[in-house]
Amino acid sequence: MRIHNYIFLLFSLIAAFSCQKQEADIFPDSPMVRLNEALKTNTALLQSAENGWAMEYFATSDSPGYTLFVKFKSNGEAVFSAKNDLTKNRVLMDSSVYKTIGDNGPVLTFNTYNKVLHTFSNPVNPDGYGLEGDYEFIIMQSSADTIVLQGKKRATTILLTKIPTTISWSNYRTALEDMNTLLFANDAPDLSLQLTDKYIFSEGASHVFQILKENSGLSSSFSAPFIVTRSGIRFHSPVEFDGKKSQIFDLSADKSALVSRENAEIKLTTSIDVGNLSNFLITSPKVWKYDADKSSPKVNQAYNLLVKSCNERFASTSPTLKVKEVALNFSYKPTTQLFALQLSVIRMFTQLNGEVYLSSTPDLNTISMLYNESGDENGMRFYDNSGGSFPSQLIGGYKEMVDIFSQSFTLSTEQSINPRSLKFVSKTDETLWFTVTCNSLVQFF
Amino acid sequence: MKENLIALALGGLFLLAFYSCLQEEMLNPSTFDTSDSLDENASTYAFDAWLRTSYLDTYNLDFRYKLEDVGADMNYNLVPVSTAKAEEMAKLIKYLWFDAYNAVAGPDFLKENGPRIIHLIGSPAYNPVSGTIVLGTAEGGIKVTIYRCNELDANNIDMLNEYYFKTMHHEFAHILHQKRNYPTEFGNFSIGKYNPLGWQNKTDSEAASMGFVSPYASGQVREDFVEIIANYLVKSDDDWNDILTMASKNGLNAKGIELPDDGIDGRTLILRKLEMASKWLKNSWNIDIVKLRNEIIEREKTIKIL
Repeated sequence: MRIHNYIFLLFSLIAAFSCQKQEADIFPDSPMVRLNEALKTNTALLQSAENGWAMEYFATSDSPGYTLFVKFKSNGEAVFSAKNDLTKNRVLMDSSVYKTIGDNGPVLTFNTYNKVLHTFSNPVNPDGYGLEGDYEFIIMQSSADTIVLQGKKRATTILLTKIPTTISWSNYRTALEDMNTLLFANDAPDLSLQLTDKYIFSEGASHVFQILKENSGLSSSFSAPFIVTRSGIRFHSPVEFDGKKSQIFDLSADKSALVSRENAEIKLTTSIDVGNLSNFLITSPKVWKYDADKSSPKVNQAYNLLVKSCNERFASTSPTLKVKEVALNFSYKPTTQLFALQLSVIRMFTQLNGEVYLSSTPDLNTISMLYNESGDENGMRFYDNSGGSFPSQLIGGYKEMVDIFSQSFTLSTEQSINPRSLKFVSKTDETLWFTVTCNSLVQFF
Repeated sequence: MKENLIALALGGLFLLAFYSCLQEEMLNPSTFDTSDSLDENASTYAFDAWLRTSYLDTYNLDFRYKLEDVGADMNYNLVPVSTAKAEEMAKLIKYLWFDAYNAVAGPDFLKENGPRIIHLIGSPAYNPVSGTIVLGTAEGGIKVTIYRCNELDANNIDMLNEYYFKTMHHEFAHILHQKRNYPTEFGNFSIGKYNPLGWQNKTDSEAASMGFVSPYASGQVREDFVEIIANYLVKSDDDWNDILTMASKNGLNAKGIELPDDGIDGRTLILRKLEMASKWLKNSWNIDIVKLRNEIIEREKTIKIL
């Protein structure tokens, strides 16, 4: 072999080895360059929400969810707002510094204190643990309208959803409060899910369901924290029902069920028998209030006379004695097995009440009532001035309302998932109907 | 000629190989933000600029108030300090600690011996098992961490001293003795009386009667040493004399019941410890502890000018 053949062979071998170390890059840039790029991109995304973000926050995987509002300003300031039990149910706004930092991937940190967010992390007495929530979050996924965060220590999943400019924070909050009231106000009945197994959901007002699972006489229970959304609820993590996982539930259009977005056959409905509302009326220890906005003109004619009479009868120039509200309340008294129709004249500091009683005959979704010619002292005076004192205590319109209540009605409800209002339609005159509602206070998260 | 060809070919080969390696070694631009300027658009710019001038430029000290939990003890649940409380604390620290030392020990003392990092934390660090809280730590003669800053009330001088400035002087004394050790004889004063795990069960009175200025001082020798300095520096004459009075009597337990005479003259013991600590400060650091204390007390009287 000639010498130049050896030279070419050697040349080829060394050249081949010198290139052997070269490996194709999967990513065009180094990890640090890509991380810095991710930080810039995420910061820009956070700041892009002109109207801020709704943050669906879970302190731990056992804790109820809270909605916080946050706007990321370009000067590094994050403005938070919330109204919940931790803010004593008042709107609280506070701001702090935020930053996206490189840690285990891009991390969003709120590194100075603000009263809205850090109250979840504050290690308050007596045990020094507090609610154990995070204030540093790994940015797991992001799109134009949604960012998925994961708490750095507790690993809870926290969603940021961009708030459209068409809805104010106040209106967004009202929508959440309305949904919460609709679902859980008024000592809401348990929810129920009947599949192969049966599930009963209790303590919903705490936003941590206690779920009892029953199967062929065997039962077990577990808890499932959730957050109230504008469309229903979202569990902190997917919950398995008959082997199928569901996380997001939307309130059905007829307000009768929370329907799984993942499995439409999974529907949480009220555990009460909505085919027997008269029984519900009698067995629920609630005070119902006449709702003039949801009653027919015929009934309102008598009600308006009642209000007018009260305002005239109890007119006063004194701010403390001036009538603030006239209410007509309706409740069942188990001890006497009678309904009470109570007239309540509300002043600044005092309240004047009187009531008369009605007997009833319940039958599934119908009920017949009849004035039984009795009442308390004030009630009788309001009704027909019986007792004969001077000046006359008779209140115009009260007797007319009692007469209206003294007939047979068909009962229905607009939202069977939590019957907070009942509609009474006369069985003899369809144009005569009224609604009573029950609004107990509910703490919002 | 043949040898020349071989040399030329091998030379070209090495050049090619070298070039192929050179391409791999070319570095990207620095991935860190090497610009050192503050962001004038930042909501905290004015405060950050003040910190830079007052601490970083003057003392080469990084004053950290934005909490990143990797910089804190991950064993605790902590929250950051608010910007407003951080501003108050930064100004108080400068006025009551740094400026006081400058006035007594000279302008270079803290530049040479002060911490390189001060880290503010909003909450206390709770130890749920023992029922205690950590108010401050000093690490490696470099970093001082001050906790519970969100509860700062600049108008409450007793609270300032008890929860913050006593802690700062305590931690700074640790830094100083980590650089120049305190006399080993100090450990003989209360030998056999230290209890690292049960100090929190002692009352102030019980600790004083045993010759300790605080229950915490009875935990370990080094804590005893720095507690003497810190308490003497921040206590008013009345409060200091109260400790000495307590120390001269039998201790009271948590129920207020007098404990048996332990045979220890707590008052004398505390004063002898103070004397040794004072000499160490003078001899090792040329600091007159009485002058420093007077300077701090005078400054506390004018704290509202902040």
